[in-house]
Amino acid sequence: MDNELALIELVKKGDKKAYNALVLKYQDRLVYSVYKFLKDFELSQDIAQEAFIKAFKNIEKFRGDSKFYTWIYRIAINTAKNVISTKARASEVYDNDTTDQLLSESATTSENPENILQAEQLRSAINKALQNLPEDIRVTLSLREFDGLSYEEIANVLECPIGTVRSRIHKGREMLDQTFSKYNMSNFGARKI
Amino acid sequence: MNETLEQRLSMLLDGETTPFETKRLVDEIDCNPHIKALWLRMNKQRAALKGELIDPNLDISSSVMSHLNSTSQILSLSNTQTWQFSHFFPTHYIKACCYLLGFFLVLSSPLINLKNFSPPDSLSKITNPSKTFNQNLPLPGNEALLVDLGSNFDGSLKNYRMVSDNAIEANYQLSNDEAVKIKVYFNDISQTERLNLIETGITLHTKAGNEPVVLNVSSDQISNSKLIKISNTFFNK
Repeated sequence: MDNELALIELVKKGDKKAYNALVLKYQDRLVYSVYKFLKDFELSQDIAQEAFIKAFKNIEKFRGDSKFYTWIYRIAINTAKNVISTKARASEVYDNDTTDQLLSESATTSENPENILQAEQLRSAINKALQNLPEDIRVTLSLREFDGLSYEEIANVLECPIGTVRSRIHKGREMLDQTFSKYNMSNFGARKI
Repeated sequence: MNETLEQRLSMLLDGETTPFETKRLVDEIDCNPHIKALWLRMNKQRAALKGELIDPNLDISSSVMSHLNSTSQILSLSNTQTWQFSHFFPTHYIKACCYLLGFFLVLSSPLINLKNFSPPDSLSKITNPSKTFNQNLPLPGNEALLVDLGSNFDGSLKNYRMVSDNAIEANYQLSNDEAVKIKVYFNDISQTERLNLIETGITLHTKAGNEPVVLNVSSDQISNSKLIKISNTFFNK
C-alpha cells in the first residue's frame, strides 16, 4: 500500500510542512524531466518551481486517480509548453509547428557543466556502491527502487518477514549514504546517519 | 530512538507509513535540520540510482515555500481588511445602500439592451462553422438565461457567481445528481487563460454578435465525452 495519499491529505488540509516534504521528494525528478524536455537547466528549475506552486494552489483538484508525480509532471509540461508558446509569439513566427520545433531545437542550454559532471560522478558512484552491497540487501533494495514493489510484495517474493524487508532497505540506504559523504555538497547538511 | 526515526523516514520515502506516522515525520522534517538533511539526501540518492539526478545541490523547496507563504500572507491580509470594512460601516447603512441599488436597477431595467447578446449568426473561425449558436447567452447576473442555458442539457441551476466583471460561473445539477460547472467569459481571454482552461473540461470559443464569448464546461464526475455532448447541446446541428 502506497500511503503517499496520507501526505496529500495533509496538504489538502493546508499543511505546508507536508507539502515541503513532497517538494523535497520530487524536486530532482521533476527538474530532470523538464530538463529532458527543454534542455535548459535554469528554465527547468523555474518551471518546476512554478509547477509546484500551481499544484499546491490546485491540490483540491487532485483526486488520487493517478500518482501525485504524474499529476505534477503534467502541470510542469503544460507550463513548459506555455513558455515555449510565449517565446514563439515573441519571435512572431507562431504557427502550429513552432512549439514542437522550438522544443526540439532548444538545445542551446544554460547548463552548469560542473554540477552536471558532479551529478554524473555521483550517479556512477551510487550505482557502484549498490553493486557492492551484501546480496540480500542489494536484492531487497533493488526490488523496491527499480521494480517498485511494496514491502509486502517484497516479503512475499523473498519469503521473509516484512520487518526484515524494512530493515534491509534502511540498511542499504544507510550504506549508500556513506557514498554521499565522499562528495562535498554543502546543501546536504549533516552527513552522518 | 534516532534509529527508529531514520528507519521510519526510509518508510516514508516508500509510502509505507501510516497517516499518523506520516504526520509525525512531516513535523520532524520541518523542525529537525538533521532529519530534513537526511530526507533530502535520501531523495537525492533515489534520484541518483534512477539516473534522474541532474544537480546534487539543487534545492528549490525554499523558494517554492517562501512564495506560497507570501501568497497566504496577502490572502490573510485581504481577509482582515474585509472584516474591518464590515465593522466600519453599520449594517443599516449597508441595507440602505442595497435598497437604493435595487430601486435603481428596477427603474433602469427597460434600458438594458438584450440585443447585444442575441444569438450569433455563426460561430467564430475557432469553432465549427457548420453549427450555429441556438442559445441566448446569459447576461452577467441574469438568472433566467442561466436557467435556460441549463435546460439544454436537463441541468437545474444550483447557484452562480460573478468571477470577474466579464465572467460568470454557474453550477448545475443533472437528474442523476451529477454536477456540471459552466464558466462564461463575455470577452476574449488571454493566452495564459486559454492554456489553463485546457486542463479543465471542454472550452468553446464563439461570438455573440461581434463580441467574443468563451464557454468552459467542466465536471469532476462526468467524462470528457459526455461533456462534449453537453457542449454540443448549445448549438444547432
